[in-house]
Amino acid sequence: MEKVQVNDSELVSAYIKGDESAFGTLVEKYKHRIYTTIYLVVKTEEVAQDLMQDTFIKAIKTLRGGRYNEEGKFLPWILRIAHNLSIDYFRRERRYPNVVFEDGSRVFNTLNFSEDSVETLQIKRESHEQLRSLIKCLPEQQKEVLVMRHYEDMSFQEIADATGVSINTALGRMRYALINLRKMMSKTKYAYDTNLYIKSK
Amino acid sequence: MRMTQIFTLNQNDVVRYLYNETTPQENERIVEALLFDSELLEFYLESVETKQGLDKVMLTPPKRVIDNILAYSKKYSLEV
Repeated sequence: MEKVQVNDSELVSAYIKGDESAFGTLVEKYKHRIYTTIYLVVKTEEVAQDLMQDTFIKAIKTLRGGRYNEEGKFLPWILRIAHNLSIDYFRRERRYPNVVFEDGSRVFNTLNFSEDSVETLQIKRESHEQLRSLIKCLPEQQKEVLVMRHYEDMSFQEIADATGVSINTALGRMRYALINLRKMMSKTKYAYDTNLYIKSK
Repeated sequence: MRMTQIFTLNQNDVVRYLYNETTPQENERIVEALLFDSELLEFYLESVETKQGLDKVMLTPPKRVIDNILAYSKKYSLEV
């Protein structure tokens, strides 16, 4: 049977009218993107899970409260909520810093793997862990632009406006982030296999 | 010094091109530049590869978190 493709705007409208399954579709569609964005800012799995829930609670209240701006797109809108909550958390933590152990070994155990062999799973896990670790090693300003552009889908102009720098500075930070990641990847002999990743629908 | 500035600007353009933020006219200029500038081409190809790697770093929240969100939505709809 052929599946009917429904766009985000239609799903949002259906949800506002009371269709819970439409909301479930949106959550399923964007859960990886939103969770990854939060995690890369806050760096701990537990906090990322809490903020993921807070993000959707805020979204639910806005949508059901009739305060959603139809002109905006759903993904950038909810990513902005996630980003703001993550940054708020990050700022609070800076004010009251805690010691955080960054072994991070459990984080990628939750990755979506399909029916792979144990060996393939191990390779995937190690590759993702390595790249995630490399992202975390980037200077804060470079990581910020990278997360905003790559995972939050903000334009460079939007990033420039949000961070109070010129577009050339934002572009320069992204450029250095890409260059530094590349350098680190070659040093660690990081390699990924494009066939390994199974993208969730 | 001036050479460095020109080179830097071009790499920034390639970054915008990589993320589809260039106009069709700019695309033509960038593609042409990539044909003649091997360093710029190398930067572009490496950036494409890095970008593909970044696409693969996608985490999945635990099912419990998703269940909580969906349950909250249902509960909230009954309350309002």
